[in-house]
Formats: sequence, structure tokens, C-alpha cells
Amino acid sequence: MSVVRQRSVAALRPETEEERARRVSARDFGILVVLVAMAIALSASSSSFRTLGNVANMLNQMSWEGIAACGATLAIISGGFDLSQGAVYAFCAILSVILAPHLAPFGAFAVALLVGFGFGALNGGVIAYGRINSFIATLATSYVILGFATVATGGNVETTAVGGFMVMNDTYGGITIAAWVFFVVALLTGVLLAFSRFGRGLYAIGGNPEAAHLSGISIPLYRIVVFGISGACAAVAGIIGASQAGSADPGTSVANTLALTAIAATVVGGTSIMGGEGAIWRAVVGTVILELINNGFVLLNLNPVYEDIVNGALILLAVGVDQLLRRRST
Amino acid sequence: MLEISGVSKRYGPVNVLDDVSLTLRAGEVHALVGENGAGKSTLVRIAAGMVRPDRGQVLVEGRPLRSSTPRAARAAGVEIVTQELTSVPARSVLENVFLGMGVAAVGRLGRSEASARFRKLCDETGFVLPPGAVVRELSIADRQVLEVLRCLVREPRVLILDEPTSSLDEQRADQLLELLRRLAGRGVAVAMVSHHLREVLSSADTVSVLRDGALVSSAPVGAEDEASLIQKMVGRPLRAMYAPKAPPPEGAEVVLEASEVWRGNVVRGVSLSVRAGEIVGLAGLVGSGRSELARCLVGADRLDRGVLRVAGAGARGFRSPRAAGAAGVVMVPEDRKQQGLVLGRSVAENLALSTRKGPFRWGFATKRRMRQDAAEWVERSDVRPRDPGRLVRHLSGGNQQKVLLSKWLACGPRVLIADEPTRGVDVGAKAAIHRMIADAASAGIGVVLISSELEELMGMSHRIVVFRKGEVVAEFDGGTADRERIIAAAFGARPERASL
Repeated sequence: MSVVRQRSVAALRPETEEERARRVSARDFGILVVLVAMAIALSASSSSFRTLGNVANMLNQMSWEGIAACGATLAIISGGFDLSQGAVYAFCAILSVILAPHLAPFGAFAVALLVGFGFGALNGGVIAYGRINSFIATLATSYVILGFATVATGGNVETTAVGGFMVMNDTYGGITIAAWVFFVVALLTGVLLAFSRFGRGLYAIGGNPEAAHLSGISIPLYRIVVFGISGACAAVAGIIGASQAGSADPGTSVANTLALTAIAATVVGGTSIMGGEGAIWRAVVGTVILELINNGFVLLNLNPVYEDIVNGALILLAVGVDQLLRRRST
Repeated sequence: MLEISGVSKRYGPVNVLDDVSLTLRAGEVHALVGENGAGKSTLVRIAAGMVRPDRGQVLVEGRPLRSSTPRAARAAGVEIVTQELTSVPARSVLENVFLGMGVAAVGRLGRSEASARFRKLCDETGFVLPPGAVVRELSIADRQVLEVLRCLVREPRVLILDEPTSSLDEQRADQLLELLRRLAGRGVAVAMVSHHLREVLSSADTVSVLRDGALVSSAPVGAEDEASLIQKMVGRPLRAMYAPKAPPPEGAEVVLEASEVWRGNVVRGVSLSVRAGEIVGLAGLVGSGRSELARCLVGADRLDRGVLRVAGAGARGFRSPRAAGAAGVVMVPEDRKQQGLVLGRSVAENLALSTRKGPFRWGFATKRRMRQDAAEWVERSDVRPRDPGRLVRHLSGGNQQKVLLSKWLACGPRVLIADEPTRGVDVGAKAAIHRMIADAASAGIGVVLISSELEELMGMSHRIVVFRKGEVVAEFDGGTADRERIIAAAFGARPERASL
């Protein structure tokens, strides 16, 4: 018996710890190398990049996109896409502006957050029980949600002058409250994904839904919760957007681009678009990289016309390199 | 006909093949055996141009392949049936058979001509598939047959098959082996990777043994028997494959009782009871309703009619695998990759998926805790390498299967349903899995064992229940059952109802 065992082991001789570590880090942390390289290149070519003010500014600017990317990452890992984030963003931004005079800013924010979660949960329910592909389901609901936003405002920009509404622009410890909210959301979703039973289930239903089902995981429940969280993230992004501007507009371009930007940040960070693999820190890294490009264009006085081209090329590069490393390591 | 000469291949640090040379002669069935991970699949993939060797080359009729691509091998007349199904699920049988050929034969090969050629192929091979059927709706066995037909339509000079019979029932397996013999008789060089030593001994002309990436022996089949092959595969003789069975205690409680269970046309009024500590083997052909019954028992599919009692408590079947698991009824599904494991996650995570509490406190656990929790099971079930953090994808099939079984044993079930727990697993892992199942039974778990290997059923089970077309047709005592009578019952040759 023991001889048999030794044989099968020898055939699959485990690589040494060192070899394994090298392989794993090349695949897992390659994107960090890209990030650091970009940061070094930017600090070398622009002295204003290195200023604390610029870093704080970047954190503030990327905060709402980063939050949406955290939600998108959870949805993508579970094997779904949430295209309704932009619509939820716009709706919740408007809702918080409209409610602010009645409920005080924080009451308005809380309601907007709950409504965002509700929209998301509804998406999850439609996907799970209606057996509709998440891509199509959230595309459809995004029209509906944005339609409601337009109806509620009559298509006009809503503004508010309630004191304390623009709290997200306040700074604490050198960075804005919006940036702090980004940190908190990334931390909460990161811990949830990496250390909870719920997180294990998300990876399982994204990686192998049949096995997850047979393991006793309730897929509909998971879908409802994960899309709920994605919706709540979009709502927080909307609250930040409204609070930064003191107004909200159903016609904002963010309504159309947020979901795709969030997916782009997720993928650039190295989360697999196929589901079942990825991490929240990757969403953060992806967001930072996209922001660095944006920042670089401003600081280096490049023509912003080319920014989208660079962004697109970067996404292709990120996914291509990811594929290459994966193929080599298996 | 085809010569593999001095081929070596490394995957990362693992030396999969080390200077292997092998000749496939025309008119001969050449079997390739070895434990999982011995390099069999890699070797045949290299022969078919699917994998580029690090050293060495493949020659067909003395000429090296132009390049290591399936296209070059195909041009030289080499066809391979891999373990993976490669047909296009959404298209018809006919389209799949002629897939890829259409490109070269546009215009010439019209639909009617394709049908005619397909009919001829069916006649010649004796395998009949409906040409218009959409492949997705075929059974796994039929899809496996389709893979073979797809290769044969190209009239290969070298035909390689990697475990072609693993998803076929005995009848079809025999039919396929017969076909391979006929092809060899017509001058085709046939190579076959197999885990079934009996089929190797009965059908092959030459048998080669691989061990740890090296060729151990290559000899005419007459010079070998099961014992000698096993000895070469593992390096030392295996004494008894099956330990003596510990009988369940007298008057042990009935932990699972299904009566008159119906599910569509596939499970037809099946009654089955399992006592604590008992291993009940389900025999039958592929498609006889055993896996379908198993899925009903754990709530993966609904019962149409019937009653299910777990440890005496009445139930009309479970609503979901979740409910079944809570009641202590768990299933090791037949396909570990599709239904059992999340390949892209670690061993520890896979183990934590099903256990009701597992390493979690308030739903959270650190990676360290998850690994510690898993380490116990990795140790107990001898998963190699002993690393709970390793991705399941990077384990061999046998070790994956151990993880899958552990995942369910870790739940502390009352009833364990194991569907083909040793399919495609090497001899060593198979023995380990048998021991795990036997241990579970002696710890008082009621076990339902489904297997297409009669030896396994007879070696493991206290009782053997034979299925045919969704019904229970016979029952035998595990100690005295004989092979011929079980097969006869499964094929419906003789009525043998309740012949204890």
C-alpha cells in the first residue's frame, strides 16, 4: 500500500516552495508591478505628481469609481454582470438630493443606500428566479431605473443647499470623506470576500455553479445578496457624486458609463471575467491604474482626446498578459 | 506505422515523460496502462500533435511530423479520441461528425451525401446515433461514441483512444473493443489508454506500461496477466485489492428508506433501504437509472411520486441538496469536475464549502483557520501533496476524488451516496478511496455505492441491487453474488427478481 502511495506522489513530484512562490507571485502580483512602474514613471516625469495634494486629489476622484468596482468585482466573481450600476448611481444621487431637505443629509443617504440595495436585490431575484442572463436582466432594469429617475425629476437637474449635504468634500486627515468611504467599502467587501463563508460560496457559484448547488449552497439567495451589494455600492457612489456636486442629474454621463468603468477596473486588476477568480484588492489596483492614466494626462499636459485610446489598449494588455501568465503556469 | 522516439516533456518542475520510445504497428491494438500521472495521456497527446515534446519526435511511416499541431498529425492520418468531449453541444450529430471536413469539402459534400456517409459509418461500426439529434441532448455515453465516429469518418491510419470506455456501459464498451479489433484487422494501428486491465488483456495485442513518465515494459499481451501488469504499474505486487468486508451489526437501524420512488421515465418505482453501517451497491448499465435515483435521494431532482425516510423520519423527498445535507444525506456526484469540485479554489476552500459549520465563526474564518481545519482531512484521506492551500486544479484525479469524498465525510453524514467514486482514478488512489468508504461504513454511515465496475461493487458491497431501465430487477448478497448472474440481470437476460 505504502509503495503505491509513494509512486503516485513521485509522479506528481511537488515543486519546491521556492518554485511555487515564484510562479504564484508572477501570476498573482504582476499587476502590482505594472502599478508601481506607472507610479515611478509619473513621479519621474512630473514633480507635481509626488505632492500630497495630488495624491489626495486622486483618491477623491477615484473614490466613487472604486466603490462601484468593488461591487462589480463581487458580481463578476459570482459569475454575473451588473450593468445597472450607472442607473442606480443616478437614481440614488437624485433620491438623496430630493430627500435631503426632509430627512437631513444622513437620513437621505441611508434611504438612498437601502434603495440601491433593494434595486440590486431585485436584479438578483429576476436573474435567479426568472432565469434570465444577468447581462440582459441588468441592462433591462437599468433602463427602467433610469426611466424612473427621469420621471421623478422631469429630466431636470435637482439641487439642494441643505447644510452638511456636501459632507463628502470635507477633509479628515488630509483626504476627503469620499476617499475614506472608499477605504471602508473596500475593506468591508474585501473581508467579506476573503474571509467569510459567503465569500467561499461566491467563488464556488462563479467557478462551478453545479458543484455549488450540490454542495447545498442556495444560489438564488447568493445572487440576491451579491447583486444587492453591487447595487448598494452603486448607491454609495451616487451619494458621493451628489454630495460632491450638491446636485444630481438624470442625464449625467456617469449613468451610462459607470457599470462599464467598474468592469474595466475589475478586469485591469486581474479578476477573471469568467467568474470564480479574483479579489477586491484587484479592483482597487485596477481603479488606481485607470486613475493614474487620467492623472498622467493632466499632469503631463497630454491631449485628453487620446485618453480613451490608452485606457482601451491598457484593458486589452491587462487581459492579454493575464491569459499569458495563466497559460504558462498550468 | 507510428513511432515515438526519445520523447521527453516537463510541465514546470514535473518530469511527465522521460525519454520514452514506442512503436505502434499497423494491424495491432496497442494498450497503454499506468497509474494516473504516469504520463499516458501526455504521451498520446504528443503522438497526436496536441502537445509539443521538449525532446524527441514523432514519426509516421518514417517521416517526422511537419509540426507539433493536430493539423499536421491529422494530415499524416493520425486521429485521437481524447478524454474530454470535443463535440459542439448546440449542433447536430451529423454536423459534428463532419465538422472541420466541411471546410475542405464544401460543395462536394452535400447534406445528403453526408447523411449517406454517416449511415454507412453507422453500419460499419455497429454504433447507431440519430444524425439529426442535437448533441447537447445526447447522453454522455452517446457523446463518447460520437467522438469515436468523428475520428473514424476520416479513415485514419493511426487511431489513438484515451480511456474510450470509461463512460460506456459494458455492452457498448465490448462493442467498441470489438470495433477496434476489426479496425486493426484492416491494417489500422490502434493505440488505447485504459484503466481496465481486463479489457486490455482481452482486446490488445501488445501492452505497454508507463510508470512515472518512463516506459517500464512493452510486451505481447499473452505474456501478461492482471497481477503482472499491476505489479509493473505500481512497482510491487498488490496483494488483495479489497479488504474483507465487516458486516453491518445485526438489527442496525435503517437510515435511508425509499419506497416506490418515481421520476419521469428514468426512475420507475424503486424501493431501496440502507441500514447503518451497510454498503449497498447499485449495479446496472449506464442509463439504468442509478445516478438519477441518487439525484432524487439528495434533492438535486424532485421525486414525482414516492416516499423517502431518513432514520425513520418521513419525508416526501428533499427540496434541495441543502435540505438533504441538513438531514444527513450527502452525495459524491459522478463527475468530479462538472459537479463536485471548484477547480480554481484551494483544497481548504472546497472542504469548507459543504460542512455545515466548518472553520467559520459567525460566518467568518481566517485563511489560517480554514487551512488548519482542512489539514486534518488532508491527513486522514492522504491527499498528496499535503497542502490544503493548493488549488484543486493542480491535483491528480485520484487526489481530487479524495478531496471530494472528504468534503462530504467532513459533514458527518448518516447516508453517503457515492456515484462512481473511483472513475478515472489510478490503482493506488482507488484503494485509498475504497478504504475511506469502508471506514465510513464501519463508523455507522449507510453507504449507497454506484459503480460501473462489477469487481468494485462485488468487492465493496454487502448487498448488490441491480437496476435495469429504471427498475430494480434483482438483488444479491454481496458475499455470494456472481458476476455472470449480475450481468445477466442488468442486461435483462433472465428474470432473477429477489434471488437472495
